[in-house]
Amino acid sequence: MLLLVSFTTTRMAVCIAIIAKDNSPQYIAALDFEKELELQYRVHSALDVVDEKCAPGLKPSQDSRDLYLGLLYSTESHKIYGYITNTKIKFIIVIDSNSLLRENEVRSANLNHMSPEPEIK
Amino acid sequence: MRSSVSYMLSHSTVDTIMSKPDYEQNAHHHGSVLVLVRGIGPSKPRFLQKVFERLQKVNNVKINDSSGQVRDIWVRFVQDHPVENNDWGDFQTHRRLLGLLTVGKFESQVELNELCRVHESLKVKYTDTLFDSRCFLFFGKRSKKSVDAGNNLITEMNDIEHSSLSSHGSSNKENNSISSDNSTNDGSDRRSLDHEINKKLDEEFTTPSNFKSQAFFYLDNDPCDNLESSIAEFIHSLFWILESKRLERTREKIEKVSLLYAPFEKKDFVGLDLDTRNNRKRCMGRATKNLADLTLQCGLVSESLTLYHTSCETLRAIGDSLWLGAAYEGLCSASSILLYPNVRYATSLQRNASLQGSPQKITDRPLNQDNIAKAALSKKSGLVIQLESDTLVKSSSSSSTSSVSSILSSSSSGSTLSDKKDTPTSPYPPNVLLPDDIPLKYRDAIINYSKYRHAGIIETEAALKAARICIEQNQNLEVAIFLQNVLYINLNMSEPERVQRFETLTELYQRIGYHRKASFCQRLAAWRHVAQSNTNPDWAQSYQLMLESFPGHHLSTDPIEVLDQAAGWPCLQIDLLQQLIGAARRLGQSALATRHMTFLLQTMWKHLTPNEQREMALQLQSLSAQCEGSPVPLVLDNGTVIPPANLTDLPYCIHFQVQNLPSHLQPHKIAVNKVDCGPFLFTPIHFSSIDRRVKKNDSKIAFQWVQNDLCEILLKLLNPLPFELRVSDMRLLTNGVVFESLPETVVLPTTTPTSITLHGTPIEHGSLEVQGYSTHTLGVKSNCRLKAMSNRKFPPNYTIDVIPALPKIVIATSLPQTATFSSLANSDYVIVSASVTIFNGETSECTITLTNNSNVTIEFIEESLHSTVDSKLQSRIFQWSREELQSKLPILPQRSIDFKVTIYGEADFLGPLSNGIGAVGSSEFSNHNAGSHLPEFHSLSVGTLSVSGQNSLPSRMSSPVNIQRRSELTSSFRSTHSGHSSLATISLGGAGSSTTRHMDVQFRFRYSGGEAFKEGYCRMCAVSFNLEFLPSAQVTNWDVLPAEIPSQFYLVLDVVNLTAQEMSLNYTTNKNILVESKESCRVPVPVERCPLERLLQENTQTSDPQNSLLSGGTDVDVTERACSEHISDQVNLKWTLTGTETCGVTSLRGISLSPTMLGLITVAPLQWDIFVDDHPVPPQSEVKCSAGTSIKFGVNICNLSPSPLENLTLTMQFYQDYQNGVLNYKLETRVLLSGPDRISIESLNRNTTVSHECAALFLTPGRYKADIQCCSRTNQSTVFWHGATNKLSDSDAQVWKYIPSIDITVME
Repeated sequence: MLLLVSFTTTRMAVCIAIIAKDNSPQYIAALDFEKELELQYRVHSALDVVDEKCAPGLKPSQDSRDLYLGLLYSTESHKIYGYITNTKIKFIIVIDSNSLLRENEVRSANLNHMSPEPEIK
Repeated sequence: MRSSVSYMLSHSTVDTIMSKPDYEQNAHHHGSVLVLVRGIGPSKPRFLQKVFERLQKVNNVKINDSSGQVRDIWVRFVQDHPVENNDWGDFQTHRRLLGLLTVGKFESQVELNELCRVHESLKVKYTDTLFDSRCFLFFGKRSKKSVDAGNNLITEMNDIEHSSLSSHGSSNKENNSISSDNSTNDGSDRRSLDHEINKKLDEEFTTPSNFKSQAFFYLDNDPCDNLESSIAEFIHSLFWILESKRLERTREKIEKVSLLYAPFEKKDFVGLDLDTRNNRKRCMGRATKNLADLTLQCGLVSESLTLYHTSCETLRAIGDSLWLGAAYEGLCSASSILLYPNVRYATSLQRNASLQGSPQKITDRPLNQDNIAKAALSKKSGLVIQLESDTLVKSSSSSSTSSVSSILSSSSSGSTLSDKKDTPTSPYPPNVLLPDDIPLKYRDAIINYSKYRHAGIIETEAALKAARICIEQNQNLEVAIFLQNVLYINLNMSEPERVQRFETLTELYQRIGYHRKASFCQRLAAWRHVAQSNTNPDWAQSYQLMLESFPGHHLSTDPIEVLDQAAGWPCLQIDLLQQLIGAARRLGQSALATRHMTFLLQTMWKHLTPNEQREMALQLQSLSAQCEGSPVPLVLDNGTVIPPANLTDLPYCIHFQVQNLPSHLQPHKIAVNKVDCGPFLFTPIHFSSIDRRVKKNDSKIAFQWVQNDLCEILLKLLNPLPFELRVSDMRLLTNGVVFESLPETVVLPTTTPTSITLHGTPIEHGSLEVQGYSTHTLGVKSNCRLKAMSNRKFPPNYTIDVIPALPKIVIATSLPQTATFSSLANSDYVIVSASVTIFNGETSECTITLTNNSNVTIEFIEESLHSTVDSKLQSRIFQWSREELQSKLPILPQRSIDFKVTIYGEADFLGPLSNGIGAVGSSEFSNHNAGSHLPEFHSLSVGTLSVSGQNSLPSRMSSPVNIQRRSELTSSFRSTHSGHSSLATISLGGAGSSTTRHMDVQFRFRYSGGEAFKEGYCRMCAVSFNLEFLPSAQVTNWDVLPAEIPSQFYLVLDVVNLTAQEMSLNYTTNKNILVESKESCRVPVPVERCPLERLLQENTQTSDPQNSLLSGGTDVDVTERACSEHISDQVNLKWTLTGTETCGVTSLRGISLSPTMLGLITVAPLQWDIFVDDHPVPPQSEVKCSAGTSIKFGVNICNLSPSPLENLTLTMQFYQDYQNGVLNYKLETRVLLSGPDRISIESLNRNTTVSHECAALFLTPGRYKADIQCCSRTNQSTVFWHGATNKLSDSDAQVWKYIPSIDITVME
């Protein structure tokens, strides 16, 4: 929850989602409540890419230890980044495309804030 | 720079952009010849479809060119081609429409003319690019002439057609491509026939003069054998023209070529200097690119690669981005044609499939699993390839992701790739792109295109082509990136085109297994269909798309499946469902709307907030008002079946219990099996089988239901909604035998569980399965099956055996009913009650009427009596004739029988009054009384009672002399109350018979009839009798006195009238006494002595050990019992209550007798005859004499007992009784005896008499008594009642006395 606060206050992420191993949503928070449903659709479809990236054996070249999945996909308005824990809990951040956040920053945000497993309600 | 200028310029120009994107395009289409196939005139789509399929099978022709090289020419058939797209033909030559095929059907010359006109007009439409055209004309209706001419021929041909068509149908892709040389070698006969007919058609119908195309005439059912060959010939013609164009282009001087434009570019170059070096290079580059396109189309793939490379160089140098992009794309296309040749085959097949236009095309697509399987396969084979051929160029070795279909093809024979692989030289030209480079080049191309706003469609198509290649390469992430890019391209498109774009994306996403993405695109497409900007909203399409997006959201149309899976994102699922409901409503499909709403409530209930639940429930109610929901599958127009949705948890069933029938209607087995009951309540040993320990099958109901009897099931329902829920028409869902369920309607309050009972009647007998219940709530009919109710421990169904119909009886009694029913066990069998109040000793009658209330004849009836008291006592109270009852059987339906039951007020009339009325009983015995009353209901504790009896007896008998004395003191009775109850075996309601007692008795009936009787079933019911016994006459004390006659004795009784009325007591024949209420009176009753035979009888009866055990094992009891029974038989105190009709009998049953009494009661074994001075002395008489005179006493004893008496001693002794308890035996100074005072008798046989005489001389006057007794000293004496006296003497002596003693008064 600390994470959400830090992201929302700095206006970096428009939505974050925590998704369980079985791809069921555990926690979703959107900056703009009106857009929550739409964002949920996007986060949901981003799971396809997560699955792809985590599919066993398909990408041996990729460092499987790298838990940061990077940009999952981007739309006109949003960029969606993912992070997966060893226990297959996924963290998805949706960032406004217009934001000046660079990928490195997202990565560090992920690593800094997500590595210790946050408490899931 | 150049590009930015052109971009700016293109901004301002008029829109000459390609408006119709071709989303189906594939990379290999760059190397195909575009041919339009069009149906003309009024023809059935199915007919056209059939012809089109035939035509399109010929999509690949191998042609030998002038130099003898084999050209592999591919054709792409399209059914629609916007003319504007031809404008891009310079830019990419494969966009040019080169050929035209029309198919039409005609019936007359007029129609033929019309078809020809349409064909010509199409030719005109595409005149700029069209090389050649063909027209296939089918004659629909046979004319008279042709009937005359070839009727037989046609029928023959029909037969042939079938076979030929089927052979065509089975043709696979291998023989799709018909080479030109094998066209005319088979079926020449048939062909000649065809030609004959076709010629006839030709002759009959003539094409109009302006028709300049080649036409083929066929009959409607013509097998069209030459169709393929004519198509091949057509393609030949196209090829040669194309080849000529190519050659023309190659022959052009490269310096002098004119500039080629993309359509929107024309304006850009107006006014620019075209003679610059830069521009010349542009001309060259573009011309080279154009030539490369043509070369690719003409089947010279490797040549085209070189040309593309050249043009790339040139165009890159001058920065002609648009054309550079096109060159890159060409490069990719040529490479992919080489690398993945099988895509052509695959897609051509796929196209055929998709041509059918079925709505299920998306479901036909390979699923994710297929893709994974393919990927795995490709990986494997990729490795194999690497191992096999080191000669392969680095391209293939570096490509870990080789093509799916190429690998597939390598396993299949005849592919060009495998052919080439066999050759030792490199299979591919050296300048072919590496597989990994293709996406990169595509990306470059797209980036270049993206610089031009008007090239949006080209860009979109390129992205899709790239995506398709990446699918081939199994690079799903690349696919996703390309597809995602498609959405960025800002195109000015109409809504249907947008929809089409989304649908294409959906399809591609599905192919790579991105179902979530696919469904998201479908959702977007669905939105587009009904977007506000859409002038022509198509709700049906929108609805369909949303329905199709279900799998991507982990939804199914079947609610059970969804609940089982419990996957997906509820939030999105709810949104989707709501949109779907909205669409269905807009479509006016209220049934569907209701169904989906029901589905939503059923599946998403737990994900909805209480407020949402309420809202949705109300929505459902309003939806169902238009169309009621019912549990039947709905079938959409396209054949999709929407399974039923049931609101199984609305209301929520907490409890479901199959109820047994009411006890009195439950079936029982007539013959009860022996239950193996050991001495232990619990045993670890399981006798019958091991499955007793197996988990109990709770779906099998242990009890049975009866045919035609109303049965019940108890439900507990909870209404989770915040408003009252009305559930109507609740019925049971059953399977098996016919079951008539009664509808039930309930209104359930909020959140409070409500119990309701569902009723029904099985109409047949057999096995019945209860599966659940049906409801009608919120306007929706639901079948709530137990198996669908999750989270509760319900079995999937309950199985109940229904046995054949049993009769039912109604019982009535002549007695009034009671308010309360029996307190006995099994009181639930009681269907009627009866109460009766009688006095102790009174007899009452009751008529029981049994009415058969059913349609089954009662053939069997069995009655029994149940109460808490002993069955003996029970049988004394109730008496009826079983034979009478049985004789009245059978009871026909609706008939009744009745029978009488006699009720007797059985009581223990003996004993003191506990409440002080006439408290005659001495305190000495009340202790014993208390003791005997302790075991109130379980009276038969013989042991304790006999003990108390023994306790009491010695106290009385301690001194036989004393007894003798006290017999004269009539003030006190010798009755004892302690022992009698053991004999009477009564202990009703506590304090004996002196208080009001109650008794509950069940009169049970087991009855049966009809088929169920044959199967051994019966029913049980009971009448509950509530008996009240009022005290009547009570005997509080009793004693026995000798009577005047030796054969009799007097039983003196204290009788208390415990009633409230005056009582007339008849105590002996014609002797009555009136007793006031609560008064006591003493009456003497003369009774015959108890004969010895009776004692003997009794003794033999109890001689068996069990009885003697019960009776306490002592002979005194036996004797007492015999005497007691004798008295109770002899004495009946009849009483009547004056003023009423009430009369009764007080029985002395169980009267207890002391040994002294027994002596009086029983007939002595010795008969005494006493003579004084030779005169017999009567009993109780007095002998008078004067002092000093001698009196002669004579004693005759006669043995009356059946056995001889031995070792007898007859003694005579005189004594004086001082009447103060002192007996003076020392009379030596007063009496003188002459003769022996005792004699010894060795043996006294039966009926023999012994006499003894002696004389006495009384010296002083006074009152004397003579004590005459006889004692036996033998052990072996068989005297049966010796027990009465053997306790008194030291040894085993028995003493018989002459009672009463003779009184002698001696006077002066």
